[in-house]
Amino acid sequence: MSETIVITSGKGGVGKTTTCANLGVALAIQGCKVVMVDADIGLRNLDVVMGLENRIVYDLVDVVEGYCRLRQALIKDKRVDGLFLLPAAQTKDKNAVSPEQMKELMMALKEEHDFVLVDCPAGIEQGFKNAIAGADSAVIVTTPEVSAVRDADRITGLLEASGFSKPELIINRLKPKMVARGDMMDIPDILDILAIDLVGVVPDDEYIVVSTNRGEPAVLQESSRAGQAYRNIARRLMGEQVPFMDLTEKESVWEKIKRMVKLG
Amino acid sequence: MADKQDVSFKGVKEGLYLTLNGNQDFNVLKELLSERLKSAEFFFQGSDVILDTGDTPFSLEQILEIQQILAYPYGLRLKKVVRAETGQAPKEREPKAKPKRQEPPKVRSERNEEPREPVTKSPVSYGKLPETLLYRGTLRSGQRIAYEGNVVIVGDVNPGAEVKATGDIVVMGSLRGLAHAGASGDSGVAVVAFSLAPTQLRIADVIGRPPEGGAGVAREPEVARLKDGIIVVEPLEGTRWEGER
Repeated sequence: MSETIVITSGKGGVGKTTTCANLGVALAIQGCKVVMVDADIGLRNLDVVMGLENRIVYDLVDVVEGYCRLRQALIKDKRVDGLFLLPAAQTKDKNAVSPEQMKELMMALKEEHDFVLVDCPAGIEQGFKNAIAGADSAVIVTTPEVSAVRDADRITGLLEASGFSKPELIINRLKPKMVARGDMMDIPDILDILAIDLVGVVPDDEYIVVSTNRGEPAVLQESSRAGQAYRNIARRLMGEQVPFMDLTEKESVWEKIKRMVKLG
Repeated sequence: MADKQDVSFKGVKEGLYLTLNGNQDFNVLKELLSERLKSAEFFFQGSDVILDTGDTPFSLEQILEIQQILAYPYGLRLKKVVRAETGQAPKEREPKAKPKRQEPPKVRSERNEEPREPVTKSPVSYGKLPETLLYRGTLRSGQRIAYEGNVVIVGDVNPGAEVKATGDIVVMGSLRGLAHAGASGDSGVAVVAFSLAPTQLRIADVIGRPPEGGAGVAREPEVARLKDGIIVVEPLEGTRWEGER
């Protein structure tokens, strides 16, 4: 059984591409055959985050327009077996493909892979419509900010109107300390508004910036907490029951002293 | 009805000379112009444009609309608007509102050739040299130059940008994007850059990419060329540039 999952958010910069890259790698490590599709034509990023930019010869638009065969455009990951990337075109724009063409492409990709992950562009226009065409299910990424949640809500509505029955939610970049202080939206607050199933919470992790710049997804780093969260989400996508991580961080010695001074 | 002649482009020294037939319906003209630009795609990119509205004056709104079409997404700059009614090449000094004068249509087509003449009348005969495109400015992500001939870029080529030429490619700056020299199969061409650090390099039908985690970029100009089917990068020293051609 294979599945096409579109990773979307409405708002930009909440971590769609990072999520896509990490879930792709995590699923492939679990032994699945995975292909990641960058649907952000004109503003491609997934290849950079994956560190595969210099291997691109053909792209999604070339495939759709018939300049090359699908197999030629798929880039094999350099670290993990069974992981492929279909890069977006950089010199074209979103109108270069139609939802019908995307549907056809997704069907072809599904035949040979267990998971097709589609990295959706920000926004609700043509690019979004292309990305969701041919997808079986959707994962919505949001951060604990009112604006991101607002956009996630809008996207949920649009997805439901397009026939997606149960979009799932990933809350990204949660800072447990800020939540504890009451300075950041908490998980229940977000779920209260969106009322969709939560598939994972990814804590804020500075290592993500490092990994993005290096082109090495964080899931490959054992010690990364965000990487751990993504590994758990991947297993949940595969149908496993995985308990949610305990996100409360241990106090450092310095913080303990500060607290004691305050108390005293 | 729409006619191909209603919108015509000519290359002149200052850039592109665009002639619009003002007798045609303006909406049709706009459509024709978009089509022409689309078909030439990035061939024209970044050029200056001189707009000739023929004997019909265009309103300011119409000219602004044309400027919009040119500017986005093709990056063409509308430099000046002329109303050429004489057989002379239009000059800025020319009074713009000249009395209308009937002229045979033949003169119109000749006029555009004129600015080129000093080039062809060179005392030295060069034989048939390939054309070279000089591009001033930084080529940014998503921008692309494809040219039949050589390409010289006075500026950088950033990651995500593409330069494709049937001849040589020279970057007077950093080449960090993708360069494809000898795109129609010529393997005797070279890619030269002050700083050669491309995402990917293609010469003729050979594709190369920098080694994983390779050493830093040399702080000197380098030349890449094809040797025995492999892309070889060497420091650029004097005559090396000409290679074994």
